[in-house]
Amino acid sequence: MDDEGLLERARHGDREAFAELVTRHQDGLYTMALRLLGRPEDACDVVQETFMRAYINLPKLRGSSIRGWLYRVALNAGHDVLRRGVRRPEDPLERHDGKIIDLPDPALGPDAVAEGRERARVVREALLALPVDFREAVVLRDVNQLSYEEISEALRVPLGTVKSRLSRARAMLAEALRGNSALFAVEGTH
Amino acid sequence: MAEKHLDALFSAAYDDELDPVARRRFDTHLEACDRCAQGWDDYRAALDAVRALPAVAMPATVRLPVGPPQVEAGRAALLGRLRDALLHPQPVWAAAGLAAVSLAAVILAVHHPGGGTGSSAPLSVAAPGALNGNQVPYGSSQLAPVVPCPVSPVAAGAAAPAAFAYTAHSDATTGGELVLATRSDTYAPGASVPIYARLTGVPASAGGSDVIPCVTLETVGATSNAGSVPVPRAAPAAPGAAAQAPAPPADGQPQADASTISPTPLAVATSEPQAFSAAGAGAGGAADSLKSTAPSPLLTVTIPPNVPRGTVLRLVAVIPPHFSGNPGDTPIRVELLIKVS
Repeated sequence: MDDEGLLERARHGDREAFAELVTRHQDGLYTMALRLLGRPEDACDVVQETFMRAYINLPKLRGSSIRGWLYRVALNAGHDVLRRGVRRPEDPLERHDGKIIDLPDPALGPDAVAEGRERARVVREALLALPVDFREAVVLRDVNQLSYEEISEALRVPLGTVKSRLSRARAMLAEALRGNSALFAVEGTH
Repeated sequence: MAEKHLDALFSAAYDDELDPVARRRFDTHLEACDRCAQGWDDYRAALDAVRALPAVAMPATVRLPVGPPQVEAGRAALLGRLRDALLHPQPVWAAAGLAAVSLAAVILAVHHPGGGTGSSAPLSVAAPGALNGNQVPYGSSQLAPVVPCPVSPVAAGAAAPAAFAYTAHSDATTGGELVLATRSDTYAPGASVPIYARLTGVPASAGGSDVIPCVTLETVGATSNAGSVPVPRAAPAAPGAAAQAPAPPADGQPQADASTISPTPLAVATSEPQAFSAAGAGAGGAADSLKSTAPSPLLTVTIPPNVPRGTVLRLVAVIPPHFSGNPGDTPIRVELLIKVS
């Protein structure tokens, strides 16, 4: 059953349908929140809060793209985290970044794995250095691979704004990573 | 040929959004312009690296609320108002508000209404800290107040148990009769107040079975709903009660009329199914029909311990319009005033 079908069932009180929506989208939302906020604890809070708000607002949701809507809720929850400013202290016993879904290719040697980790660290830091508006655009598009239309729904901005914001965000990101060209060599040329 | 660089087209090109003609021009330009070719390679490498970041699984279990969305919305709104009261307290109520927040958090954590059908098992228990009612986005700017919990029909009969002598009834013209009762009109700070609250006699055609309303404990001086004016059996107004009421806005703006003033809830009552079973005399088979998870017309609310003696508080039971049991356009509302002494 597609998301819209599950949403319709959930709207009529089917809790299992809502649970299925949670299962489908929680990892994507968590990944987005983690790339936006940088802290696993904050990202967990955002996902929890997103589904709480989504559940409460089920009766009022009409005709929206559930994916774009969920990401919009999550972005708002993320804004609240950023606005609060006071971050929950990390508990070393709860230090869990989440299970990596896309594990490194086991055929890679240790050097390649280490280089991949370093590359990921540099990219994460470059993302977190972007202004929030730009960071959101590039994360939604290049991390979560939302369509322009879904991003427009999530950010509540026109399509043209999505494209221009994404273009500027990507240009800033490329500029920030240019100094690490050894880590980001492309295979072949254009 | 390379008189104009193409950086502005990189994003659209990366997303393959250029039309075929524009794409051919783009590629042709790159063949002739080393600067753009290098910039394009760097650009692609950067975005490829972003896309190569691994997806990460949510490491914790998402906890969902146990009640139907309408009920959870009411609770979230209540918690939001409580938090607002805590963060921006009226001077007299600052201490009481602080106590109420902790109290309400406990109450909301353990209050498990039966929900719309009573048949769905809870997926998990909501963490009170996760509720964020005053920031619920999307849709109407104001959520409904705490909404009642429909249950399976129980034996008819509007009368409260004999011990609940302090009683108020709503106007019965809507078809149902909302009854709110306590054992006394005077309680001490910190006291637990047993409450009987129930909407009975709703015609089946009105979409109703009997309904147990959620009851809130509010400060006097704010009225939460327009519509039916409650007909409480008035408790004696305490001397100084007006002084206990929230002060008018400091900015000199006129106060909103009663229909727009937000209440200042101190707590919400919890159900006590066991107590109902024990005190169900006169209700016939009602006790048998109320199993452990079903809401009971017997509720309990605790008066915050820091409320000054002499304060008058208001117990409010409301069935919102168009909710189960209330087909009309106005809320069914009844209230009781109780004195803290």
